[in-house]
Amino acid sequence: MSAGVGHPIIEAENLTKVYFNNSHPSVQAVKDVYLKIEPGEIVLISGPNGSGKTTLLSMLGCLLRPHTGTIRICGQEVTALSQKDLTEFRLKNIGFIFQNFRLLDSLTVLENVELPLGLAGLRRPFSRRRAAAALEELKMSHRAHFFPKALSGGEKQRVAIARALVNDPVVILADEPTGSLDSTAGQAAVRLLRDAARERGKTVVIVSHDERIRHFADRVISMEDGRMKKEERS
Amino acid sequence: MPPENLIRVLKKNHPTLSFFTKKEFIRNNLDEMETGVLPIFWTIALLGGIIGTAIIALMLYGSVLEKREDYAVLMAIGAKPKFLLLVILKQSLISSISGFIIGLALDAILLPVLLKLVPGLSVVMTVHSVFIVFAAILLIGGVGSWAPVRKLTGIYPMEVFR
Repeated sequence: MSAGVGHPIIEAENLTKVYFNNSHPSVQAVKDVYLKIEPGEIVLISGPNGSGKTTLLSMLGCLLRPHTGTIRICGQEVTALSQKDLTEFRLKNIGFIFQNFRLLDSLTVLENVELPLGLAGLRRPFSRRRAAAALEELKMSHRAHFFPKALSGGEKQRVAIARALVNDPVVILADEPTGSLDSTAGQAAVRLLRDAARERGKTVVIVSHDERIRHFADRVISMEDGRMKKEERS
Repeated sequence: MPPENLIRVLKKNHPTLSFFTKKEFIRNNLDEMETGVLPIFWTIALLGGIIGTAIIALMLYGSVLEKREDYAVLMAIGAKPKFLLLVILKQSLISSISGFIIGLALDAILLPVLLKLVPGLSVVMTVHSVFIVFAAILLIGGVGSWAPVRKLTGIYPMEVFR
């Protein structure tokens, strides 16, 4: 699936998300967000804790429904999709990278990378070959049969990047990708993500309050109290 | 002399004693078993089934709790509910069928010992009864996975960001 030439790959209009406590609105996490992200763009969403950036990322990742507004990804209005279709949409079009890597400890590195392919219905010999190729590209082949517990933080994030890219999604969403890494490993992980995304023409949205990774992004969006406060192009 | 007539004669000569034909004797024994020992065995089997169901339910429930984040990751990256349901059912079936195999093995090992210790005991294990136990095991596995499946439906993919 792809957006047409000149069309944004992600288009969010008038997004609002309210969290309820005992059916009373308690927090308005995201307020009136308008956002357009072009194909191949790397966007950093920054802001302090509680500014609504993770909620926004969850909505862009089709994990959370907004209360108002619409989201279009690759020209498809995802806010109108059923839960079942959203699951299918995520599998085909969105790759996720999480702060704590979120690799499955009971699976080997290769099996972790193979997971999205298996879920998409690809048969074992093919999925194994593709997962091995993804690990090769990220220089992690030598760790293919290790369990995640035996890896360093930087290596785990490489595997997580391989898992996010293996299904060839259109969009990569990364939540605090440097959050569990030291400065050097964090920079290396984001550089790797940027390079991998650039080579494949992927759109990347990173949520982070790590100021050191600003220069990797084409655009930095600052959020505060659920609103987009500032937008800077680099 | 037919057995019925012989019994009539014996009863007449020994009124304080009871006499039975072979057929009556077996019938009496079966009645005794069905009203005495068998209900106890059935109760034990039922309790075993209930305990087995509870063990499987608790084990899988604990596993869902422990692997909650993993399930959320799977949901986030696009695992369909059916896939996750099958993961739980597979675990349940593996546990219950393992129990069945261990039970059969124990039966094969312990039965000769038991028969040696209690020579009067008569135990018959037919293919039919093995199938009934297997069906009961599958039922236990299915019922035991109900609570873990309920727990699984309460997990949201959004939890990966916590």
